[in-house]
Amino acid sequence: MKGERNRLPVLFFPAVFFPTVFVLIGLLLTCGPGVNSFNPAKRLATKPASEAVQLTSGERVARLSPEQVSNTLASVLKVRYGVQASDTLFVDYLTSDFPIPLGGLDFYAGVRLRDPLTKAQTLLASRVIAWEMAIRFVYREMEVPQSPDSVFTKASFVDDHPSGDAESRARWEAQLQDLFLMIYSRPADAREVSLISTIFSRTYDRNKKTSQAWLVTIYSMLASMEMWNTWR
Amino acid sequence: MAITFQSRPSRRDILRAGGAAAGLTLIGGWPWRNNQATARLIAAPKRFLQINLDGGWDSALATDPVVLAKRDAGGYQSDYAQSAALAPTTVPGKSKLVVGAGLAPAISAFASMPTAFVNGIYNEISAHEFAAQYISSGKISLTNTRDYPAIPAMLGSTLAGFPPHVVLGKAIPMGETRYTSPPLHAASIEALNTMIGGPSGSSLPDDGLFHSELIGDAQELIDGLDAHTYNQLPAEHQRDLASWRAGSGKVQSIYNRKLGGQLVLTKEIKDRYRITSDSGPEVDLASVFTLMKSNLCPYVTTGVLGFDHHADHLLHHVPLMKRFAAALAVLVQDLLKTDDPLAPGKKLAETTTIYITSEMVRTPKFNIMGGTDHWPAFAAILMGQGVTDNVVIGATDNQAYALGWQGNGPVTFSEKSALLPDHLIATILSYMGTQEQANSVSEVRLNGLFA
Repeated sequence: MKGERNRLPVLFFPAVFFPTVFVLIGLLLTCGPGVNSFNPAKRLATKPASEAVQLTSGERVARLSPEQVSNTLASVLKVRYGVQASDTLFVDYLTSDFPIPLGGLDFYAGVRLRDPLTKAQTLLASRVIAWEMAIRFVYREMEVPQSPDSVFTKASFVDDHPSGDAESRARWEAQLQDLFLMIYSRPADAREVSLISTIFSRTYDRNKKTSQAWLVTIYSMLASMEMWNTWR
Repeated sequence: MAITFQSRPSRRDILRAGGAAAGLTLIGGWPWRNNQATARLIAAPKRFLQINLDGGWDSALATDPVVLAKRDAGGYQSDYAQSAALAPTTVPGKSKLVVGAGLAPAISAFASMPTAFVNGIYNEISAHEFAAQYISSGKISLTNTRDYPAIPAMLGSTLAGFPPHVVLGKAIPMGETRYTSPPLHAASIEALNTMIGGPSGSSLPDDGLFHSELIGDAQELIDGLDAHTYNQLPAEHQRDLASWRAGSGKVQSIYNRKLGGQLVLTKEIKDRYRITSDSGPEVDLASVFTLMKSNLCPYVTTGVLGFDHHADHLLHHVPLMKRFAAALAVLVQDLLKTDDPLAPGKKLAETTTIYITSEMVRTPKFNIMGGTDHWPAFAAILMGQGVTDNVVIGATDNQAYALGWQGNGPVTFSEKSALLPDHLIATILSYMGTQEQANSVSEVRLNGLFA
């Protein structure tokens, strides 16, 4: 009996100690430093973050998951790339047409771990998506009368451009800043405004169509490194 | 900077080596690939086409028809033996190749290319995803379907250039792609076209919005925005994002190949393959041909959906198999008359090895719904370059169970004599020139499958 009593703490210790350690480690991992990102996905994502943006200790940069990109653009630009198959089912081309290039690892749909490393096919897919989203956005903004989903509130989509008079340029820049906040969650700096202004004007001057210049601008912003990646 | 890992690197290894350099390497292929093997494959590329009939095909309607003693043994549904419409046919000039009614429309294809059938391969896994992993990679994993890559993914990992391997339609097992360069995958040829062609390959209404100069403007703006962002980041972030920057340059070089407009199903191709809807085996195989003649990559995989019927077998399965077989016949005709841009003076049929398979076969008897269920065996067709013509390897008994195989003939099934997917996959990889990968699957080779 004496021997059994003495063994009790020996048995009790591993039974309590190891589970406690595992739980604590788990808590530390899940409550670790959060993602301090410029990216609006952090505040707008409506689905749980995938592995792609759960920056773990030692990781500094991660790529957004297709679902996060899709949700973000649906929220801020009010555009989606897909088809409404029924009243309740939306088939999202981001995940149905490009699951592997965007880091969906496997042919087995149940596996949702994603590949955070960027490969050439990731860029190919991101450009297609950026283009398709930009096209939808531009056609929507071109609608007359203006669509209720329009996000152009600071400038006229058709009339304002950086080559116009001072007021037109001011409205154009205010709209650009608005778009930067929507897409990147930060304002554009002077260098970015200058760069976009130069290329916007060049595109506009070619055919005098702001729609073409906005198509170039929106596409480029959606295809940019900052759109698809997050960092702390 | 070249990074060489002596063995499979961990994620930590890659991060330690530097995201930038590792990313650059990953775009090209497996970082630990055998350089000698790579050089050999580049010098003498062989094309490989894998066609997966998704869901489990009925081998009794295909490569393993109900003939001879099977006909009277009672192991199969009586329809197989009694229905004139299901009567098997011998391929002209190839006495050993007897095909079931489902493949009858492809008899001309089997007659015009070296063809071998493989039957009675024992595959005890009846869950689709895991069975597909097994028959594509030769390895079993019941815990994670991405443990091991399929044959073309393994082949693609040994070849430089991008993309070495394209998957159209249903994705395939690709191994742990965090550490590998996965195949370029697209849900359809149209999706691939938009990826490869970039915005200029996109279809737009002709309303004057789009013109090609926009692409140059956009590329300049993307480069400018990315450079500005990149330059503001700390060095360690820059290192992590270097693969994105490198990929951006790669994308432009892919766009410059101007393949986008070529990857479309023209009216002429649609007519030839008798395409009447947006999906189906006709679309899948027409897409394969369109991709192969574009010379985008030497390795192609496609999945033909719809073979997993569990009801009204004869009503669904036979017509689908016939549609596939008819499309296969057209594909083979196309490969026979189309020049291979990689091998001057040769046709695509002379340089391509075709592997047609399904993750399992069907039960020999019908269920109460008149359908068939999953059966622990699988069958395959190999055609084209290097394949020994008029050969059947492996067999099933009168009750449809896999027999063992020894030398060149069937023996009683046992653990030692069983013909396994491992053996077939290793034989294919060995023929394709990747001995190291073949041996990693199995050291057994199927004698006589390749000339």
